[in-house]
Amino acid sequence: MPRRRSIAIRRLVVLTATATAALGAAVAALVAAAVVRGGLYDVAASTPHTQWVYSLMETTFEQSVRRRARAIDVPALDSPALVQRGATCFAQHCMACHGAPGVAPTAAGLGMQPSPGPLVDSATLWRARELYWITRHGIRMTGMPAWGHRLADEDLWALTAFLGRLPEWSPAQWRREQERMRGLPCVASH
Amino acid sequence: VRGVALNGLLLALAAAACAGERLPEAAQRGRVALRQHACHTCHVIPGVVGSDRHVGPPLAGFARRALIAGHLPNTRDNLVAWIREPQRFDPGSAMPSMSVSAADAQDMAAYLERLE
Repeated sequence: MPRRRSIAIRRLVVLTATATAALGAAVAALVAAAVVRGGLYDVAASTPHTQWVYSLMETTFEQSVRRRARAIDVPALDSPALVQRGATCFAQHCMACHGAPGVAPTAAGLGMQPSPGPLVDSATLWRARELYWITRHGIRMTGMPAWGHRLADEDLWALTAFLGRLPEWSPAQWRREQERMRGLPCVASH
Repeated sequence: VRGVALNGLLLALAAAACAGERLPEAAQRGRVALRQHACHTCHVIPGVVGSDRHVGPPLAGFARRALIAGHLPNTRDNLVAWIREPQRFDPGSAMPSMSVSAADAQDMAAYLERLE
């Protein structure tokens, strides 16, 4: 008798667990349908994500970049000519959204969500190969373009070299250099 | 017992709702404006969702600070003026002038003044 009872109990447990899982899945599907099809999710740029959603996406982004950039070999980045060329590319293509020393991003750059933010601390947050990867491939759903389809590879490395030296530029120096850089080419011939 | 628990839950919810409402309208608008002008990309600001970025100083405890940016007395007028045109007061500062309207700057100040 105890053996038959234990089988009956086990069957009851399995049945209950299955039913609970099925009910849970059904409720989750209904909630998801209400949020997606019912327009419940607020997509306004004037409403922030909750901090946990923001942090979840940020961590996903960081880890994704770190993993994908692992195999990249970094060339020598310390030549002043390379840094200067990177500064020119930065002024022409990056400043509008990221700003520069003493220079705010444009209205569109400031209004983007997520905010592109300044890059003065980028070389403390990322390795050179990771900055190169982000610049080359862009970041989906952030507005960051894949510059690998717009700039030559040397220009991507020039930008990486420049980002490493960005904290050394004062607002006054940037203002002076910007005048000079206006006439210089960024894009090398492909 | 269930009734007591339910009452407790309702009380807690009501308290949470009141705590949310205690932020005055100007400060609520200020919190939105702080994000819209990308302040959180350089400053960690309690209550403003963003990354853990420290390009500029964190703004926690701003109400208790004596000086703005190390040299302006921390008054409403000075704070509004600094937010709108930091380069006028300190050309060496990496903080750019962000084209903040007078109204937005007032609202931002109203929020920052509440950070004890």
